[in-house]
Amino acid sequence: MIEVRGLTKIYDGLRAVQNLNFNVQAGDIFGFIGPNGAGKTTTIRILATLILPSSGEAWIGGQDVVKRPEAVREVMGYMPDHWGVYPDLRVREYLEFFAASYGIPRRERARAVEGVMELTDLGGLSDRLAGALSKGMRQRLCLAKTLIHDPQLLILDEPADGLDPRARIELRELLRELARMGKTVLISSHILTELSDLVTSVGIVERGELLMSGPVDEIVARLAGAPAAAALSNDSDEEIALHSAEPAQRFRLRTSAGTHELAHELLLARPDVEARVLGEDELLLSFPGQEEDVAPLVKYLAVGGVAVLGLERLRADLETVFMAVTKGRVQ
Amino acid sequence: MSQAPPSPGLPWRERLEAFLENPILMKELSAAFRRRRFLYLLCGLLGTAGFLLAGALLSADPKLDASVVGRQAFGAFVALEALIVVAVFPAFSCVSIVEERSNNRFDLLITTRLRPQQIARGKLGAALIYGGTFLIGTLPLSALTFLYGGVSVGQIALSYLSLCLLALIVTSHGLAISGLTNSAPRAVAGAFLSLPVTLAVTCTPAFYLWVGPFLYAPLAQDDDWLNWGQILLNADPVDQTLALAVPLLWVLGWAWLGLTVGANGLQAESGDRATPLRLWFLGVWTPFLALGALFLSLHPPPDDDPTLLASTLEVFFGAACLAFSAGGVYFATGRVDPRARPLIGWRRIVGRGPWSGAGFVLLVALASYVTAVVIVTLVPDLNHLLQRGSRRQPLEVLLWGTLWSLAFLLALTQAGVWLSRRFPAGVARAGLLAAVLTLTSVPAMAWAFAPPREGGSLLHGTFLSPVTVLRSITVQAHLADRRLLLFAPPPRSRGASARQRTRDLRAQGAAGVEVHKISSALYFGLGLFLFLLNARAYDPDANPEGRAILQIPPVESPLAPAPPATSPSDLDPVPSPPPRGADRAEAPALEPEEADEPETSARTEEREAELRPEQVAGEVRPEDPSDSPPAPASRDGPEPSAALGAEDEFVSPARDSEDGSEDP
Repeated sequence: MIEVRGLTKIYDGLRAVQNLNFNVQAGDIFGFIGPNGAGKTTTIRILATLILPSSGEAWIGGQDVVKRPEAVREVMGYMPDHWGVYPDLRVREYLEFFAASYGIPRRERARAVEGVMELTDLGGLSDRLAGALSKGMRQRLCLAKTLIHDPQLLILDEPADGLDPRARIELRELLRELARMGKTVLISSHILTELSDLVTSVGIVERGELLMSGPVDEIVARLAGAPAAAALSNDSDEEIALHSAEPAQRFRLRTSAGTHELAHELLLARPDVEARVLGEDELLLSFPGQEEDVAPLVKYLAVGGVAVLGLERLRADLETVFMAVTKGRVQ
Repeated sequence: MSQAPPSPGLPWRERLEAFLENPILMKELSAAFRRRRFLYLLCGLLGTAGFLLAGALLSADPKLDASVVGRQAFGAFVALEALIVVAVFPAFSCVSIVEERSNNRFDLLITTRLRPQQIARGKLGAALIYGGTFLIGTLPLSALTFLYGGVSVGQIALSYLSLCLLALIVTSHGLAISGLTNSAPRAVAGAFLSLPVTLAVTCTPAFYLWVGPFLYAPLAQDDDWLNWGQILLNADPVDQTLALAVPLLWVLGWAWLGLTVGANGLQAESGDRATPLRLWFLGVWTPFLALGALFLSLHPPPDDDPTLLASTLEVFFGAACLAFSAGGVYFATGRVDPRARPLIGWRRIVGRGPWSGAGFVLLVALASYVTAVVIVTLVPDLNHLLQRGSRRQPLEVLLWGTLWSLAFLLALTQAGVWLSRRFPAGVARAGLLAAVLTLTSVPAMAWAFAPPREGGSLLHGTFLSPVTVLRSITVQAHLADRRLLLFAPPPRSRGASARQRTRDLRAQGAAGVEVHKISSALYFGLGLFLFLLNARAYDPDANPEGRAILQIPPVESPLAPAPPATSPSDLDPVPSPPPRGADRAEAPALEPEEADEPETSARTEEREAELRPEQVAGEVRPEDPSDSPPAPASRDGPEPSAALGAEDEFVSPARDSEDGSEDP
C-alpha cells in the first residue's frame, strides 16, 4: 500500500528526513515510531501530499504522492498531529461538510455520516456544537472525518497525543476495529505503549534515518536472537547481533523444586543450547531451533528426569526493540 | 464551479448538483449566519445608514425642489454605501483563508477532494453573500428617495451594479491578502494598507474605461456621458458591447487575479500554482488587448485632440506590457515544478519551469499583440484611420509597440532566468522589480520636471525606459520637434532664429534614430545574449548540470521491483494504478543524441545490486552516511528527484520555504 524510496527532506540545510526506505503492506498496522524531532511528521506530511520531498519517491496505492496527489488523497485518510474543528458547526454538519468535500453524492451522505458516527461512538453527540466537545470527543470526530470517505489507508499522526488513559484505550480499540475491517493504518507515535499489541509492523526512525523497519515479529525475533547483554544494551554490538544469520530464540524454563540443576547439566550437554540458571527453579535458554524443535527439547528434559513446569518463549516488546535500536540522538 | 469530477454512472441531475455544489460556501454561510455578531453588525450598519439618510433628507434646504433633494440624498447614500463596502467587505474575506491555517484546519481541508480554486470560490462567495445581505438591506432605504423623486430605477440599478463590482474587487483583494499571509492580524493590516493601491489600480482605469468610450465619440458629446445609461441604451450593439465589456473585463480580471492568488495560498506545497496564473494571463490580457484594438479601430480619436491616441494606447498597451512584465518576472524566477515533464530542445520555452515560464509569457504576449494587430487590420474603419496623415498610423504604432514589448519582455524574462540560477527567487524578483521601477519612474519624473521642448533633448539613459519609448512610438511623426531622437547633431545655440531652429530640427530628424527603434534593438540584443547564455547553462551536452536542471529521467531498469501489489478493492474508486514509471513514460522522447544506450550486463548487475531488497526494508542503517547504499542513478546524470535534492540551486530549502509550511 505504501512504498517509500530514498525519501529525503531538507529544511534550510537541516536534513529532517534522509534516505528513507520502507514498505507497508495492505492490511498492516504500521507503527512509525521515533523520538520527538526524528522526522516522523515530516515523512507523514510528504505521504499525505502536503509537502514535497527534496529527493526520493513515495507511492500510495501505486500512485506517486508527488505526481498524482489528487489520486493519493482519494485512497488516504489523514489525521494530522494538530488539527482544529469548526466550532460553529454541529457534529453532524461537520461530518456532512467533509462528506461533501470528499465528493460523496448527496443521497449517500447521510448513510456515510451515520456509519462513521456509529463506528466512532459519536451518535449521541450529533447535535452538539463541535467547539463544545471534549478533547477525546474531538479526537473521535477527527477520526470520523478521516474515515468518512472509506479510505483504504489511514495515516494518523500522533493520534493519542494529549488524551487521557481511558480515551487512549478507546482509541486503541477503535484502531483494532479498523484493522479488522481491513484498513491499512500508518500510525506515528513516540509513546510505545500506545502501539504495543496493536501494530503488525514498525519503522523506527531517529534523526531522520530509518534504523529498522519490518514486521514486528521479525524484528523482535531478530532482536531476541542477540546475546542478552548486547540486545538489551545500547552498545554498537547489537548491529552485529541483529545481523546474525541464525537468530536464536530465548526461553524461560521453569522446573519443579530441585530439578533445575539437573536440567542445567542436561542442557549443557547439548551443543545447540546455551543455558543459564536464572534463579530458583528457573533457567534461561538460548536455542536456535524453530517452534517444532521445542517439543523434542521438552521430551529430552523429561526423559532425563526433569519435571518441566513450563517453557516460555521470551518476547522482546517494542520498548526493548526501540531502546536497543535507537541511541537517543536528537537533531 | 468545478468540483472534483463525479463518479461515472451518476444521473445527470446529481452530476449537475455535484458540479454546482460548493461545500465551503455552505459551511461558511451556515457558520457565519449562526453567529450573533452577524445580527449585531447588520443592525448596526443599517441603523447608521438609515440615520444618515434620514438626516440628509430632513436637513435639506426646504427651498430646494424635492427632486433635487432626492437626487442629492441618493448620491450621498450611495457614497456612504461605497465607503461601507470598502471598509467591511475586505474584513470578511481577509481572514477567511488565514484562519484555516491559524486554527490548524488547513491540512484537513486540502487533503480532501476539494480543489484550492473551489475553496477560494466558496470563501469569496460566502464573503460576498455575507456582506451582500447588508446591501440588500439598504434597498428599502434607497427606495425612500422615490418619495422625493429625481432618481430613476435605472440609476438605482446601475448604482447597485457599481457597488457590487466594488464589493467584488475589495473582497477578492482581501482574499488574495489572506492567501499571502499566515496570521490574522497581518492579514487585516495588509488588506487595509494595500487597499488604496488596489482601488487605484482597478477602479480608476475602470472608471476611465467606462466613460472613455463616451468621451471619444461618436456615442456622446462633451459631458453627456453623465447620462451614459440612456446613451448606452440608444447605442448600436457593437458599441454597447464594447462599452460594457472593456471595463467589466478589467474589473472581473482583477477579481479573478485576487481569487487566483487566494487559491494559490490554499495550495499544498506540491500544488500547481503556475497553471491558474497562466490561465489568468491568457483569459484576461489577450481579450483585453483585442478589445482595445477593436475599440481603437471603431472609435478613432478625433483630429482635434492629438493626445487621445497616446492616452488610449497607454491605457491598453501600457497596462498589458506591465502585466506581461510582472508575469514574466514571476514565471521566469519560479521554481521547477517537480511534476514537470523533462523538456528537451524547443519545448523548454513552452512548458513548465523557470525557463519555460519565461517562454510562456512571451508567447501569450506575442499572441495578444498579433491578435490586436490583426483586428486593427481587419476592421472596416481601417481606411478611415489610414487617411489620417497628420499622425503616425495606428497600425505602425501597434507594430512598433508589439516589437518593442516583445524585445523588452525577452530581455526581462531571460534576465529573470539568469538571475534565478544564481540567487534565490525572492532576490531575483526584487532585483528585477527594482530595475523596472527605476526604468519607469526616473524618466517619468525627469519628463515631469523638465519636459523636452526640442528634439534631441532626451535625458541620457532614458531611452531604455518604457515611458520614453511609449511616448516615442505614439508621438506625432510629422512634428519634428516632438520626435525623440538619438544620435542627432546638437541643436543650434539659443540665439538662432526660429526658422534656423526649425531647419535644424528637420535635419536632425533625417540624421537621428528614433528612440523606440534603438531601444527595441538594444533590448532584443540583450535578450538574445542572455537567451544564449541561459541556453548554454541549460544544455545537457554543454553543461553536466543541465540534465539535472531539466530533470531528464534515467531509463528505468527492467529489474526495478514493481509497485506494491494492490488488489482492485484497495484502489476503489481510483482507477487501477499505472506501473511505476508510467509518468515518465509520458515524457517526450529524448533527442537522438540524448537517448540512453542499451544497458550492458555489467550495468544491469550493478543496478540489480543497487536495488537489492534488504535495502528497502528491514535493515539497520549504517551510522556513516557514506556507507549508505547509492541511490539508483542514470548513466548520464543523477536520478531526477535525487538531483533535485542535490541541486540546491533549483529546489533549495530557501525556495521551498517561499511556499510556507516548512517547519520540520
